[in-house]
Amino acid sequence: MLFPNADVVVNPALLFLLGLIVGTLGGFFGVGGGFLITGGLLVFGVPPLFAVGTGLTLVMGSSIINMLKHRGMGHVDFRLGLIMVCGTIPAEILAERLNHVLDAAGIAGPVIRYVFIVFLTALGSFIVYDFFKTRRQGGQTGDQVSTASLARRVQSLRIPPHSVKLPGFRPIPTYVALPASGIDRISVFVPILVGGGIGFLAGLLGAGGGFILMPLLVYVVGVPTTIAIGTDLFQIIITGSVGTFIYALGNHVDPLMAIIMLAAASAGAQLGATATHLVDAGRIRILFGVTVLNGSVAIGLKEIAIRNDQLAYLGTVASVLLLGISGAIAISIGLLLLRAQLQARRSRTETTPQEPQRP
Amino acid sequence: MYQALTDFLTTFNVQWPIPWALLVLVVVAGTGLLLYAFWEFTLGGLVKLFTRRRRSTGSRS
Repeated sequence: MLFPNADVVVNPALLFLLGLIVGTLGGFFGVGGGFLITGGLLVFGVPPLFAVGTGLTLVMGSSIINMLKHRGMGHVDFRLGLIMVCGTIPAEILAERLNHVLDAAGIAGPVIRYVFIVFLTALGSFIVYDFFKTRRQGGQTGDQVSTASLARRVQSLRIPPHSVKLPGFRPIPTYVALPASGIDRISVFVPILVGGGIGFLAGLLGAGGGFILMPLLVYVVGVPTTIAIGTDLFQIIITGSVGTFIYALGNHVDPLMAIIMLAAASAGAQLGATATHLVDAGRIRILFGVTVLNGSVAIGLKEIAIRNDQLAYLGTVASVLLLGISGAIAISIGLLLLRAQLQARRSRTETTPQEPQRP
Repeated sequence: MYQALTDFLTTFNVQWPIPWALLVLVVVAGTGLLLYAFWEFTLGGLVKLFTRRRRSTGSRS
């Protein structure tokens, strides 16, 4: 099928498959999956700028579906999301300016790839380490993380000014309660700083930033895993919309391609989001850690392929690895959901009280 | 029909970049909302159907 905007012929079945994987992972992990979509579209022969622009468009669309699904399950902390946005948007604009400076100096590409590799490797390794450490300590993982004391310290930080005075109004305290996240009191500057950091990285790397925000909310701010997933998606809608608008202005978005993938992603989102409700939070984190590590390996291989002409085939190996392992993880999410459903049915049958016998 | 759509997609963005960017945003967000509503309606209907069937089987036994 010919996609007129990108001027490329792609098999719609492949787009459908990619959308299904992205939707499932997005619903399960609360990430947009920008790095996965871009990698996949490049393998299908879509020009790089169109791959990024169409990828961001899909990220925005699938995040809307995933966020609404998580909202229905009470997994979105809108107050936390809105406070974070105050830091995200200015930081994203600042990072895009820095990107232009790096681009003018001719070092944007390698800087972006190295930052990606360092972040993904550090993050993935930490998540895997945390999972095994928590399991060794207590056996059951759930929402328990090894950085619980750090999160408590972050929540109790007292950052001046403690109140803001506006003319004609009473002083407004800079501390808020986030009941949806189970946080009694936190300085607004903490989520603003977190949002700022994410916005900066998102602008610099050209991604939604969800893969960094979700673990940051869980391990540093102390937000429960499922709430972090939903709130993360809310944040991605905003960063994704800004990116889509910018790329569409430059005519680097193929809406037809994005809509085909979105239809498949919506089906995957049902699977992924439902699975978060039934699968243990510790399992969600370990699968996320593996996905992130897989991403870092793929980008590392691509960097080698770019630097060495004789190893150019490693670029294709990287994309196939990224799609293959992500597909396998999407299948394992489906299997985990099936297992959780069967266990729930079995426990229901066992606990159903016997009807009292009539005399 | 397909030709008309192709012509529209390839010419509108060149003539009107800002309305085009807004149109892309609105169309994709609108499609997302429609797909969400479709799945909620379909899956919600299926769940109701299965629950009713299970109840009727339970009361018969």
